[in-house]
Amino acid sequence: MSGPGVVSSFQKKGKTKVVSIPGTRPSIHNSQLLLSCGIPSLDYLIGGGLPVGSIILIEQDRYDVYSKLFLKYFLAEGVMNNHMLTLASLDVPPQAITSDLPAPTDTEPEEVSAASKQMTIAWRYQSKTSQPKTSVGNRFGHNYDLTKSMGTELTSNIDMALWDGSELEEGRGMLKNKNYWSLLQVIKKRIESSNLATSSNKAKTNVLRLGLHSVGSPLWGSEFGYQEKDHKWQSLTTFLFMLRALVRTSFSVCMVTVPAHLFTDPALLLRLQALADFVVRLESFQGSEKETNPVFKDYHGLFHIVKLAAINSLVPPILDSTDWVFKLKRRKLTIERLHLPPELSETVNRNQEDPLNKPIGLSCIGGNLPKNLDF
Amino acid sequence: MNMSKTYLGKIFRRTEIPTPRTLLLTDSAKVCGRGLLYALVNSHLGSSTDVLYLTTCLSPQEIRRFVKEEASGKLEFYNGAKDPCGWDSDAPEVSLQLPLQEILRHKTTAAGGGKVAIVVDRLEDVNYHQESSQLVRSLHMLSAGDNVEQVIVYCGRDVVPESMLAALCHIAAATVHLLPTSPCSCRLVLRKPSGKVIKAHEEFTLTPDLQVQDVQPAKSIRTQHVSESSETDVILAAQTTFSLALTEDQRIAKNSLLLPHTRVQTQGGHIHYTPDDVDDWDDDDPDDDLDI
Amino acid sequence: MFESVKSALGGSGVAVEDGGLILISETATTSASGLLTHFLASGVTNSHPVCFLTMQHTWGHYCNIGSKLGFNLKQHSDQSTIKVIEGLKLLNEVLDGGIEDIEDHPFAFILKTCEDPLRNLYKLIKQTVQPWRDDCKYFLIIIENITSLLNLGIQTKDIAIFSHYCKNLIHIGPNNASDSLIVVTRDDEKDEDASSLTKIISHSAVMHMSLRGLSSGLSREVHGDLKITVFNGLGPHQCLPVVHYFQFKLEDKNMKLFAPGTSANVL
Repeated sequence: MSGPGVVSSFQKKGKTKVVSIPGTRPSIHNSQLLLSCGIPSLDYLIGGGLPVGSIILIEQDRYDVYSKLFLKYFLAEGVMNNHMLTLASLDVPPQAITSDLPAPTDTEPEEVSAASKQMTIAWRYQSKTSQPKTSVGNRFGHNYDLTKSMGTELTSNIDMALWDGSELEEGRGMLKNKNYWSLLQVIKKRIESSNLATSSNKAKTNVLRLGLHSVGSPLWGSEFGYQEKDHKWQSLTTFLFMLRALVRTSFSVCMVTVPAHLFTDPALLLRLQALADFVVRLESFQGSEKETNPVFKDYHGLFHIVKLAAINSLVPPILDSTDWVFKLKRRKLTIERLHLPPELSETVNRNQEDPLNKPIGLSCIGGNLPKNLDF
Repeated sequence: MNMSKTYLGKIFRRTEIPTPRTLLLTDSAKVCGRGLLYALVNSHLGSSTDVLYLTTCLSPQEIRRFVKEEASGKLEFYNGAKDPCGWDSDAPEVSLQLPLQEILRHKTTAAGGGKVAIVVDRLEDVNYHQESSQLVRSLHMLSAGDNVEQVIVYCGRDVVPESMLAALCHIAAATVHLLPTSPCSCRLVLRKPSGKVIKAHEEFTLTPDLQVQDVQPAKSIRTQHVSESSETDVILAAQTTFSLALTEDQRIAKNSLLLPHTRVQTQGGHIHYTPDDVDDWDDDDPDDDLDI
Repeated sequence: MFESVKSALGGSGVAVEDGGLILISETATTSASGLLTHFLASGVTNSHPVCFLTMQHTWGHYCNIGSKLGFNLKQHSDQSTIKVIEGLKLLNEVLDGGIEDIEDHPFAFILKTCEDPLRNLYKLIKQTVQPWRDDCKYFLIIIENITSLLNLGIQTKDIAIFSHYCKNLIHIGPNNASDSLIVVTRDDEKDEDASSLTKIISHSAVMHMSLRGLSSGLSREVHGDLKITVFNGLGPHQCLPVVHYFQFKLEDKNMKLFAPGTSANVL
């Protein structure tokens, strides 16, 4: 309720200078406090990082291979900055995720340095800014090596809470589903006990990272298969709404992954998208015909940016491209602009069948060719 | 066209005999039927029928600005808009949770012999508070009342559940669906007591003093064109200073235009032939030798 | 206040001060923050009191946007010229369990099934605007993202009733002048309940401002389409609403409207 002493959920510039929280930096666009999500290229896309108090929703790839990596990066970055962590998963034991976080490396992976070479063929792309590298020495964002696991000496000191649904309370009212109710209580208590709520006057010295894995999967309840008319998935939407309320009014950020391909009613996904601040969808090439398409041979999947919210400002982060892909190298996962591969074959004449035409509606310049042009 | 020959004209002049007991008037978010509703109410008032008006959306004050109270019939409001389900007070003036015949009871029976028309202004609002089947039954019972001339049900067909709309069409003797065409038109279904069913599509204009005028059968080509044109066409049409489409008159004018090279053909076809001396003019069939 | 929004409304022949219900619809990915800021700012500039119920964003979000435009909205809320009911904060209170008497809480229905789930929320708004009603002062009620109540398991019909009661609050005094109610809904075609709620409310609105992202994707210069539909502007004999189309671009301190096809990309 309003009245005197309404506290904004976000710190003003002046305050952030007084308390400095490791692993955060103010946004260059507005005075928001940003956190890295562990993948520099993703930070860049969402306007520099995740604003404190925001929720990023990741629509999982079909086999949950890459979305799990996003979650691991997100948590690893928290470990490096000594943030508080909460991880919830019913699909896999949360310990299995936290014990396999990528190890930090001090050196930039070799692939990055190669990119700065003078371009001789695709010279017109030279002026395009390449993916921003995080400057070394900045505590914002680290580099990780996916081939090694983070040692326990790093993770053991972290205030980490894992939730696997083993201790459940009966749900109440609109939150009949035990899992959602119990998890919400856990998060609520954690925010309270660490005085992270913006309404508490204690100085903030840390932030809470919430990682929620595969929320809404069949293991959480039967929400995924119902139609709205049955009013059966209100537990899930109520949960996310309450979560939004909790996160917005506290020093925390949240990454939620959902198996969107399991939702039978498109309305459910729309509701979840409306409740999240950032929404991205991973479309892996695994098992799809795009896997063998030469256009995509360098990449592992398409990275769709569904929603970028403007928080505390009118203008959302602006992208200079609409086609993004992700690529899993041996040591790291990156998100890149979709570039077409150069033609390297011996035959000068192109094949009649242009590889470009195979992926329907994809091109290097402007993404899907629109059915109707807006201007 | 003579107003009295069209069905819309008959309904609004109230010359359709007998009067359809239940009349369903629907509109949508794209076109508003309120003007037609007021026109019908005025025509009842003008022919000294009392009108019992249940309003659920607007206040009586707002409606009074458009209906003619000085006419021979009396107008009585039931204000279901003020406090439909008792959030403001424990004893609301009109509670929409009650069955319709209870809300209107003492009036429909004790009106003293005179005929009454009952108006339900926005049925969907009533539907929020009552079960559909109960509501339909109430409407049916109301229309069966001895002194009830007509029950007019007004609702938005895009906000009423489909099953409810079907049920309403089932009990209605006359259905008027207002369509977002230009000029406005209505799709009518009239079920005569004899069992005859009339379907019509008629266009009309409403004057600022709410008279239904210029009723005529809709030209199906034009109206279909308007209703089927996609949103983009509408946007384009709104933005350009020239017209991209042809009106009926323009189309006729265009088709009758004589282009320079069509002039020679106007007399019909002729074959000019100059006889030649090697022409074979006898009646022998040249293909005689062929064994066909 | 954004000049181009103001002139677009002026061109449609609608003044907010004329009163009535103004419906704004957004989508999951296109936010109505810009238009709401406009109405907040115009309320402040003309020193009209405002009651603001937020469901999707925090009050801080609007204060920050306002401060960029040179409005100290926080100061206005401190002085109670803008009275804010912050949905997200109220939701947290429900979880707290610290409130003794949960029955009267606006969001009590989350923990306890009840007959009229939104009655308490309505009463809170009523209580908030009552002093202005008593003074016969023109005021605005702004309800941000009423559709998000669907997330809490409320049915469309209950939201429709709630919106009707809120509309009653702005009802006409003896001098026929009406206050204003601005309601924001989310209108995504694939979410049937959300789009039917938008239709229901548009039936009682004087104007519908519909915001949508571009169907062809994202653009730097154009952020989306705005369709302004004015109902019954001339009286009930006008069956067809008047429709105006615009495209818009959000800037740090401005919301720019222009005719479709006249963006900086094209010209």
